[in-house]
Amino acid sequence: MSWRARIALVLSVALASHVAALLLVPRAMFESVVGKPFEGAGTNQLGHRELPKPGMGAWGPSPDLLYSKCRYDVSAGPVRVETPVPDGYWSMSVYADNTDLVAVVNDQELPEHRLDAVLALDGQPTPEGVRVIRVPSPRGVAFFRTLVSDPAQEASLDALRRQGSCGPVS
Amino acid sequence: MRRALGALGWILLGVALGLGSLAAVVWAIAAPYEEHYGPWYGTAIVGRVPRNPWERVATATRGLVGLPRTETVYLEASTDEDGRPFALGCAYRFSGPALPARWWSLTPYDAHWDLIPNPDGVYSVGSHNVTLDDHGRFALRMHAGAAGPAELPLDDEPGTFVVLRLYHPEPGVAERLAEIEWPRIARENCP
Repeated sequence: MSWRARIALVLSVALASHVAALLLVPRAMFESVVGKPFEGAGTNQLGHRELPKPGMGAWGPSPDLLYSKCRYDVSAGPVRVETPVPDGYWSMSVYADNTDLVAVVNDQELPEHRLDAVLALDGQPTPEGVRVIRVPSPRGVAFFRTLVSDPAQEASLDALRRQGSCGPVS
Repeated sequence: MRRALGALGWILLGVALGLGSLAAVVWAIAAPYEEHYGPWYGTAIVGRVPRNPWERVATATRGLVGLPRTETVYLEASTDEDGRPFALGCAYRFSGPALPARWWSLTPYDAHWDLIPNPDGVYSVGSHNVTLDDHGRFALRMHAGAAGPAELPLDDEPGTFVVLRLYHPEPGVAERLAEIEWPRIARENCP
């Protein structure tokens, strides 16, 4: 192989691997970490995890937050998220499957203590009277954080979040 | 055979160059967002909507599933205020005023980002459980053998660090982080 051919080979492989990693790294992080449903939940279902403890395998969790998650897929139609919202800190953050943050809603924006939202692609029809969050790609995750400021509140906050749902618009 | 091995070597060099150049570009993009306040450091890139694929990788690798500054401020510390890494067997005094947020907390982790077991089952101290003095200030000791409500454990392996979280910082705080009195971290005693 001539030196010209070697340089062309190295540069073309370098370009291909640079672009491939650029596109694949966020997707891989989504698939392996962010978009992985909590145990027992599937796509378009709300899953919950107990208050973080050592050895749970979670990466840098706040020990004061109850985490819930809905891995959504709106390719067949919008997905509706309905959940009661507690008095203390609570938020829902929505991420696309390339890890981009799409939207954040917190308890202070919801004085009625209830979230009724629909995740939908541009152009998808949505029900009247609900908050519409337009997502840039069909798949992603809605991530919920509920503050447990007093361990005695854990059971009631856990019960409250379990009243929530995430599923296709019926 | 020898020719094939030679070509494989050039291909591996190309892969290394491609990945290395990506790492360099991502580092260069993330660097201006890095912030240091005494022993505390963080990045303003967390929770940002990226403007290009390189910024997306930088955001994902530095603050995956992070929230924007209007919602949360995250800072980390892995040294005392004199810049010495947390050392095995040493005790550290974290002290300062209550922080300007709706809720704040200090949480120690081991080098693998896991919470640190302790007999009290207390993994963080913050606005929800800290004791403030008459001047609205707190003091907290962290060391490997911590016990009791005014102490939190550090890991007994290298790489332990502490995360400071401010949820719903007060209005304007996110824009003037350099003016905030962040907790001091003083090394108290070592074996």
